[in-house]
Amino acid sequence: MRITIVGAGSIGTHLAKYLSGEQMDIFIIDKDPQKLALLDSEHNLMAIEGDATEFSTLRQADVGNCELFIAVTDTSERNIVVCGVAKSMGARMTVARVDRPDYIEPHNLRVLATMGVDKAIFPEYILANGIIDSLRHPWTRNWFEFDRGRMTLMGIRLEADAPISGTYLRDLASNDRFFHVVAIRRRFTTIIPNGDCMLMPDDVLFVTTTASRQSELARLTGKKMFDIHRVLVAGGGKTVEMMLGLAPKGLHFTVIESNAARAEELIRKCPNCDVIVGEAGEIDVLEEAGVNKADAFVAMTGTSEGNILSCLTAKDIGIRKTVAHVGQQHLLQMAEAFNIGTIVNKQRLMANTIFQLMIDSGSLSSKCLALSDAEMVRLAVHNDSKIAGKIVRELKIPREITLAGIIRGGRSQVVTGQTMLKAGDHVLVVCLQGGLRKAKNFFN
Amino acid sequence: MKYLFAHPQSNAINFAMITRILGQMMMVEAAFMMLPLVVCVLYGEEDWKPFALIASITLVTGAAINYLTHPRNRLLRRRDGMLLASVAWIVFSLFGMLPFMLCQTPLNVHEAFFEAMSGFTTTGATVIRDVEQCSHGILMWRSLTQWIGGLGIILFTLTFIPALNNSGSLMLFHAEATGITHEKLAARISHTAKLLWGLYTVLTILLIALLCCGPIGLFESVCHAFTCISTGGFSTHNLGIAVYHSPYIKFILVLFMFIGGVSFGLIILAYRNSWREVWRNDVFRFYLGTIAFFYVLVVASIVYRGHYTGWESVTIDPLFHIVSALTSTGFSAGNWEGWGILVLTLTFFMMYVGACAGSTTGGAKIDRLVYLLKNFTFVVRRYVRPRLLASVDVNGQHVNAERGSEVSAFIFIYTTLIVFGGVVLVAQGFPIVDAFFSSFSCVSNNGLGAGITGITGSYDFLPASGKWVMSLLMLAGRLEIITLITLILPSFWRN
Repeated sequence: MRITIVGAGSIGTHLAKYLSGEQMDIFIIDKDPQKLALLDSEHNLMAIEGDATEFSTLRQADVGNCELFIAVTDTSERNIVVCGVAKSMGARMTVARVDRPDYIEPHNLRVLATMGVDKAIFPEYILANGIIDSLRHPWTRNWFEFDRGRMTLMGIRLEADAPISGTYLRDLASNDRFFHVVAIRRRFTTIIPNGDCMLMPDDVLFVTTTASRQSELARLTGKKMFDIHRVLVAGGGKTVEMMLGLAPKGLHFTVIESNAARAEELIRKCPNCDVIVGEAGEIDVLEEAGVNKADAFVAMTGTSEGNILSCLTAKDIGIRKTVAHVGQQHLLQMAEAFNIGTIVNKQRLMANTIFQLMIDSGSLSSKCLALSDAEMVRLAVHNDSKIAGKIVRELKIPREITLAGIIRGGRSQVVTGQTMLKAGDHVLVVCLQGGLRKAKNFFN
Repeated sequence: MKYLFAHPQSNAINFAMITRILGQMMMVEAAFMMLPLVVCVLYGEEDWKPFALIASITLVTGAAINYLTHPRNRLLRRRDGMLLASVAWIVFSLFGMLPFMLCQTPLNVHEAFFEAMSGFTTTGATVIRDVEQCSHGILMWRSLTQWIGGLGIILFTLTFIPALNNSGSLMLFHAEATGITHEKLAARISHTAKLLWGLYTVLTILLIALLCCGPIGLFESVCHAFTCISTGGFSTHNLGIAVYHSPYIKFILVLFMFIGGVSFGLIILAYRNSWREVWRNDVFRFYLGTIAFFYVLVVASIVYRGHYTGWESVTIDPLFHIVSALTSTGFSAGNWEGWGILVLTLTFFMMYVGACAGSTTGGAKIDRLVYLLKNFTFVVRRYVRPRLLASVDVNGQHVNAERGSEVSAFIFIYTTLIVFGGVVLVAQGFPIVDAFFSSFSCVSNNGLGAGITGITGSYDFLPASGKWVMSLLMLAGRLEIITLITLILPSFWRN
């Protein structure tokens, strides 16, 4: 598959590396030769130096023949224009990154489509939604809903005193199966478990389950369910602004923002929240913001290290739920190993959205899994697929992928060894790094 | 802290994966040995037996390695790429030398390794005193080693091993590719490799067809086509191309040696876009200019010294010699040594310069010299106007200071290596001119001989140690030295 990416910022770079690893033909365009130099010499892709708004640059990248065109520069308008030009030149599908909520309203999306932008992705919006979800379900680390909430995939850290701690997965299988352990994050790696895998304290289990049995799962993993009322937010950027707009009624937010002008802008846009001007790292500022009374702490400042540290501090103070945004890929793996509740990352969320688009251009789910080394995608079982009509246990599933759940005829169910795959099913698949292509081949 | 990486051992050299790829490469080499085997059978020669034996040994070893190694981590990093690229050339030569040792006209181990390395690195220096005694199979194998080595063993492997189509193989590509920057022609490295090999094959077939039209048979056409387009220089005759007395053959060979000296990437880009791009290319123009410059000097020398013997002696003969020396082919079309000391001296420079990067040639590469020349003019101008800022660019692309310092580092080590080789040979008791000529010839992968290694001689005069040193220098020259030198550093092996 031929993919052109415009903009070698953090999102573009991450996409290029990852997609190149998935055996795609990648062309990446940027004005800045320094951003491209290392990417070009160390990754299997073609870097093109130039301004994507110039037609000659797009021609050089042979945009007319590309199947997917992704514009992820900093400016929405530039992305939209470039997508329009690429579409006119013959690009099969175009995706633009946008940074204003009105671009993704349905009737405006239709306008964008006539301009040649097939999909508009607003990473901050996806991110804000993800954070709200994790605040709604504070006992989990990650929360992903599918099929309008009827099936969920959640990441849960196993407590030492949990009933299922120390048991083998095959022993769990004999019970009434209302959940399925899809993957386990142990220390610094994600593994796809088999029956001989023992569940250990501090493992993060990725579990699919149906909506009705969540409280039971919380009990088994040693978690107590609780609600969040007061949220302390460090940093008042665009994502936070989106989040305040999307938040449900019951949540009260206090935002700490160091830039006075930005703080003023924020309070004008979101009058229902409290805004404190100051550095989120200072203990005085935290006390003034009411850190003692907060149920949750969300660190959304620009520096990943600061976010990680302030979340650890918040945990220490006694806040039960913390969420940190970690932008740098190399810190992500380390951060996930710390006892910080939820780690979010814009680049990976964006990448996952693109994967879903590539695999199944019809559906663009805004809720997707984004871990440091695994991806979650939804794949359809086609009529002529070789796996249709087979029982899961008899399939030779590639090592890197696992089937997490099935959506069949509007109803969701957990996958077990006895489940039979039928044509028309939608299967949730978790893939480790490099497994995306295998998953796609497996289903076709 | 080591757990912070996706693969806990990722910092260590990935020996398992390197071994596995070497195994796969051996299988590819075994497949190539089928060609001389078939030739032997067709000509009814005894040498088919060693070829059959060696091909099976190579195949079985390769297959065994391939099935016995199960690398858990398939990632190749920069260091793995450099190690694999260097070892691959040695392994190819080690298996490739076996036919020379087991054939009807056997060589000893020093000679056989030299001959194989000289073949794969497309040097073309030979230790066989009388090649006309060799079987057709052996002659075909010599030519074929050069054809394989021409564009590079690694590049060839990248085309055939699908598992290598990842970032790791890019490291391999960098380790073997020549020149200041390594231009990609397509988004995926295996596609780039396929394009280059496609062009190479088309040119080879065209050359075989054109040579067949001349007064030489199919077998010799194929052999010479293999060694001409790869700018290798092995011939099937002791006296080389001179035997044919055919201006047509000389002309065709000059043309294809010339093409072999042009960047293959440039040819493909020109084919895709416009042929005008070739002319716009600085390096290509310099390449033409260099040939013209040497041509004038050599013809002047010939006429002045009274070696004029007819129209050929001032047209095709000097041109053949210049292109042969400059493109590091090393075909000899006559007794050029008789043209006098000036031509000999100029030949030193021609060998040193080489042709364009990204071609099949050796030498320092014109690209680097273009850069050094432009940089030199800039430095001189800045002496006069200290605030002057100018962009030093090659082929319209700015060469930044980092790349520039890499060029100077390369030129330094390249020159040092030539001097080292020369000193080694002088120490072994060879006349100074002959010793340095041989060293220039080996490091620049040229293969011309002068004096004792000249048109009637061969490199078998060298003692065993001299042969091994020269073999190593040929490899260093082919891999553009720096890849090979890093392997000597202790820090390379430290995790």
